[in-house]
Formats: sequence, C-alpha cells, structure tokens
Amino acid sequence: MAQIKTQLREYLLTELNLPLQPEELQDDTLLVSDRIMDSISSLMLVEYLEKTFNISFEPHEVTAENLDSINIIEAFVNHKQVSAKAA
Amino acid sequence: MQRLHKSILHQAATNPEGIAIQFPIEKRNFTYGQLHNLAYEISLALQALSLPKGSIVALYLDKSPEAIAAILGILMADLAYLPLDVDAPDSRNRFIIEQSQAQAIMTREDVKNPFPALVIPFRTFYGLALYRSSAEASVLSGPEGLAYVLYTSGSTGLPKGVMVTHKAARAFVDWARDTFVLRPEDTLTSIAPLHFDLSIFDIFAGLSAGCTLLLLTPSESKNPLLLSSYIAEYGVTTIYATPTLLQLMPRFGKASRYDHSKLRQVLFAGEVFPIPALRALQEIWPAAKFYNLYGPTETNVCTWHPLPPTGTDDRQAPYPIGQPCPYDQCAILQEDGSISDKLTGNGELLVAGASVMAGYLGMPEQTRQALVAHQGRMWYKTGDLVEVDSNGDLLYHGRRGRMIKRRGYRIELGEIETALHQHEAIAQAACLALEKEQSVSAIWVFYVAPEGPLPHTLLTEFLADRIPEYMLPDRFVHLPEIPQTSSQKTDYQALKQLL
Repeated sequence: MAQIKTQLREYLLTELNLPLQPEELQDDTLLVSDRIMDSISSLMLVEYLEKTFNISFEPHEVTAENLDSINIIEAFVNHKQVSAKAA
Repeated sequence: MQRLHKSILHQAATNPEGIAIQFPIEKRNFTYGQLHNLAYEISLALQALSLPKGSIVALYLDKSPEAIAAILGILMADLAYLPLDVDAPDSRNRFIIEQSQAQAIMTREDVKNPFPALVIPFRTFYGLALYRSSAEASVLSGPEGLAYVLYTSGSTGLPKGVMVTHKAARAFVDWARDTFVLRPEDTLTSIAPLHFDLSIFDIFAGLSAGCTLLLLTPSESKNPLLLSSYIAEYGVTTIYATPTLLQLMPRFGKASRYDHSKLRQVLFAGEVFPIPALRALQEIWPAAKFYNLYGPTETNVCTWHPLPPTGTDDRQAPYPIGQPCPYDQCAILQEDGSISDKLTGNGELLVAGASVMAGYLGMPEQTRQALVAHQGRMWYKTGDLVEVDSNGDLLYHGRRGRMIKRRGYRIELGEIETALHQHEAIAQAACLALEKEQSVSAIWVFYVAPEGPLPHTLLTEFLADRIPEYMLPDRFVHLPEIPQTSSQKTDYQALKQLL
C-alpha cells in the first residue's frame, strides 16, 4: 500500500515538477483544489497512473474528486485494481 | 434591422421538436420549442422592469440550457447581455457590474444574492432569479442595436467592455453559418464559456441553423477523454475550440476507442496552433476539414484560412491566418507609420468593416486609442503583427506590447503585475510569458519581498481573489531585486535570461 504513495510522491515532485518543496507535499495536500496541479498535469498524472498501476480511467472518472490528494489517488487506484480483479 | 436571434426564433417556429441543446452533465436536453418558451418567459419578466431599450443585463449563470434561454430572452426584450465569468473573483465581477452600469442581473434561484451591495431582488421564475440594479438609471449611452458586451483584459489592470451590435455580430454569424454549411443535422460542441467570444459562433451560428448544441461545462471541456466519448455518443459534426484544448486530444483522448466518423470540420481560433500538435490532431481525425479563424473580441472573426486537405502538404511553419472575411477589410500599419491597404509588407494589422465593435463601454478614451482613422473610416488596431506571404495570405507574427494569448484568452501581463502589487509583502513584481512556437507555455512571476520568499499556494490564492483563473502564473521566483533598464523601467530582457 505504502508503495503506491511513495511512487506517487516521486512522480508528482520530479516528473510533474509541481511547484512544492518535498516537505510541503503531504498525503492530504489538496493538489487540484489548491491549484497546485493544473489541468494538463492532471491528465499526465492519469496517463501515468494507467501505465504504472495497470488501470483504466473511464471518461467521467478523470475528475478532481479522484485526483485531489495522494490519499485520494491511492484510494482510487486501489478501488480500480480491486474492481478489475472482481471483473 | 435583422436581429441576431431572429433566425433562432424561426427555427423554433418551424421545428419545435428539434433538439436545440444537449446537456450531458445533467443528462437532459432542450427542444427548440422549450428553448423558445423559456426565452419568451424571460423576456416578459425583463419587460416588467421597464428598462430603456438597449439596457445591459448581466448574466451570472453557469453554462446551462437556461443560460442560453436567458441570452435569447434578453435579446428578445430588446436588451443587451453581459455574460460574467462565474469563476472569476467577485471583485472583478463587481467592477464589471458597476462599470457597465448593468440595470439587471440574472442568476440561479438557489444561490443567494451574489452582489447584495449592487442589486435588489425583483422576481424568481423557472429556477432563475432576476435582480434589478440598486443604482440610478444608467447614464452610459450604448450604440443603437447593442446585442452584447464582452469584457477583456486591459493593460491598466482594469477590464474593458467590448460592445457588439446585432448588425456587427450578424456579419460574422451569417457568414459562418453559410461558409461552414451548418444544417439541422449538425451537432456542434459548445466548449467556450459564455463570456468568451468563441461562444458567439456556437450559440448564434449553431442555433440559427437549427443545429444541436452540445453544451459542455468548463470541467467537461478540460477532460479530453470525456470529450472524445461525447463526440461519439452525440455524433458531433463540428468542433470550434482553441488549439490549447484541441492539442490534448491526440495524447489523452483515446480516439481509437471511439467512433468519430461523423466529425466533418474542426475550427480553431484564439492562438497559434503549433504544427506538430496540429499534425497529431489531423492524424486522429483524417477525414475532417480544418479551418484557422482569427480575430480579437473587438472585431470578432475577421480573417480565416481553410487548411489544405490532411496529408497534402508538408508545411513546417504555422498556417496563415489567411484572408479577410468578406464583411471586413484589412490594412497594415507599417513601421514608418504609413497605412497600406493593399496587403503587402509587414506591420500591425488594422481591421475595418461590418463586424468591428462599437467601442469600449463607458471608456471613450480607450476607444479612441484603439481606433485609427484612415480614408474616412475607423480601423481597429489589433496590436497583432502580421506579414503578407507570397500567396497574399496574412501570417501572424505575435503581439505588439505586453499582451499574450493563453488558452485563447488575451492577457495583459500588466494586469497580473497590478494585482501582485496589491500584496503588502511584495515590493516589486514583473511577469514574463514563456513562449514555445508562438504559443504561451507558462507565465513566470519574478518578485521582490523584503521579508523573504512567499509560498506558491499563498501567492496563487491571493491572485485568485483578484484575477481570473486563466491568468494565474505557473511559477513564482523570489529575487533580491528586479533588474532595471537605464530609464528605471523593469528590464524584461534581463529577466528573460533568468528563465
């Protein structure tokens, strides 16, 4: 579980290069609501999540509600992986 | 005078069962009959206010079928509409309401009075709330036949209201409807927000041709995957959007999963479309025709260029903005101050003709500065630098001054600086736009704060209360001092070296 968060943090800070110092990025930092991550970065994040965690976003799932913090993203990835297995 | 909405009323009379608006986010639609009935009710409610003809009614409404009906109702009542950006800071909207001397405001019934200091409740109906201004009757005089007012960024830090008459709007709308052969079988995306001039095409060209409008909210428009699924689901035939948005489709739209075979034309405007991104888009939509439209809010679309069929040329530079539309004339203000109306050489593009604005509302001085007299006509100075190529087409070469285009919006960098200077911890600030292939990729702010650097989130939050979201900078850089030129002005060239 913790691994998803570690990978995510790494991606957000180094690949997406979000304008935050590492210590400012907490698991509950609001990325979209606090305008840290813009819409294009959100799309790149979706692309990254799909590839890295082998999940697929439905069109209506690409929303701030599913991408707003590390905690929320982790929960969403877990949910997608579980429902993929169930299917 | 033929009014802008007349053909839409005609569509409602001849085809009341036709679908005027699809509104996917709420999974509902509006027929032409429903649209007309609500617009009619709204016009009656407005008439009860007994406002003088041509008075301004501000719309403080999210994009919805009701908002479109409100626009039509305002026009049917012989009034002019002013679409506010509901996502803009309150301070900006308050300024616009006061500066425009709007006589009424329409919003949703379920939100409380958004501007209690400025407006008084009048009545509610069909989920809408109508307020009248608490100010004295407007003393601003608008032009005869004013249809709408759109506010754009101003260099002094204050937005300016571009006044467009029915006649001027129709020059473009009628041409566009015929040129792009819009028919009732067509489904058009409505991506642009109502305060953005691209919406004029969607609403008026689309609905006057009896098309179905696929009304998208801002969050839906930013989701290329959703857009891709809608194009298939609703059988979209025509898209009009900015390159910023369109270029996300090839990478993020997963077009191969969806059937986009009905899409027959793609219109883009608002900024330069970099060639690699355009080619990628043409690859996913090989059967569609592409058109580059150009024009500031002040002139509406004034030049256009149909792109050659996909795969038939290997152009490397961005496509021209093309030729003047038949209702307008273009001329070039040369470096030496002379005006050439033969369309040769290079310089600042001037536009005269039927679609040009009637001026900035309540700002005669700015209006005078924006226009130049030549051969007995008034020409709008676009601030855009152009060159005429060997085919006689106009090539866009960027902006004069410190205005930039981002996501199709015009931004005066000075407006961002003015907002930053209101922060008590900031002694000095300078903005720069980072450009790649003539399109803005990021806005950088350099600032001096004697107490030390400020967090990004704090600065963004501060600015978000003062300027619209599309103007928010991407990066903030704290400097001990801002470099200055010998004349004690910000040395932007020196700052560029820091990027």
